[in-house]
Amino acid sequence: MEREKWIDETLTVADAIGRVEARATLFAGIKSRIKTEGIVPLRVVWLAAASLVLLVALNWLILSETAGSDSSNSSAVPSYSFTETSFNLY
Amino acid sequence: MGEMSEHHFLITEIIKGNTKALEQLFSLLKNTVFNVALGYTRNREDAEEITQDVFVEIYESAATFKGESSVKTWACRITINKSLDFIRYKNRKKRFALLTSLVSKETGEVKFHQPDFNHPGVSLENKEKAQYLFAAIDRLPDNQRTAFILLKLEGMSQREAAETMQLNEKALESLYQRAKQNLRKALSDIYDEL
Repeated sequence: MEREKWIDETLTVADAIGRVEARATLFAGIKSRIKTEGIVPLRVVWLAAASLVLLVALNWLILSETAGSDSSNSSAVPSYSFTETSFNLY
Repeated sequence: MGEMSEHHFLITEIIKGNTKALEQLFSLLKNTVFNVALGYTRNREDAEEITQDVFVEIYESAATFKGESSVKTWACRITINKSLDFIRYKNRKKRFALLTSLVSKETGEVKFHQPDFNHPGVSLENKEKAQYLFAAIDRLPDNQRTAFILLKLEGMSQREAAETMQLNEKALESLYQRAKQNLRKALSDIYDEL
């Protein structure tokens, strides 16, 4: 019984908690943080991301084309036999 | 201009980098943001730090605001997330310290000490009981704690709190009822610990 009374009394404290006014001076801190942190516009972020994707794609394209041309040129390379016995260089 | 359209207009100005608009929005929403943060931290300095973080975030991510909810509920959502992150960070730092301050009924001796309790909305006569109440609130799951803080401490309407928590009103009501039941259980446990 005493326990229930104590719980009810404690819960009613929630109704007695008053709203508190935030200090207007807090804005000075917000302003200084905005200035020091420097905001990167969203457009710049997207532009940077797009540039990175383009760079990676171009690299991939160039590498795959180089690999392709290497394999197609392989038949043009003269084949030398390891069993060549003549060492006459003159 | 209505409150909501004024808020939306200020957001469009903030997107352009207008800090005067941010200052105006700050003066309109600072008390809501501050009191919600205070509900979690119950410490003026911590709530002020969170309030500043929230408005810096509003400035930085104004362009991502879709306008599907009101600016006030969006700001409250940012406040809730920042407050929960802040509490988790503080709890990690104080892993081995007990947060609750409980006084033995027999001896009057302080069994646990909560140095951070500095809620400016609590009168001196209610301070001890308020500490027990907040110790019980701390034992609630995050969503029940948020429902209790928004509805009971911040005095939001069901519709506003539901929009903030992105729930329907029925789900919020059941969450709030569970929060009240669990608070009674937590307070009963605290009573045994005294």
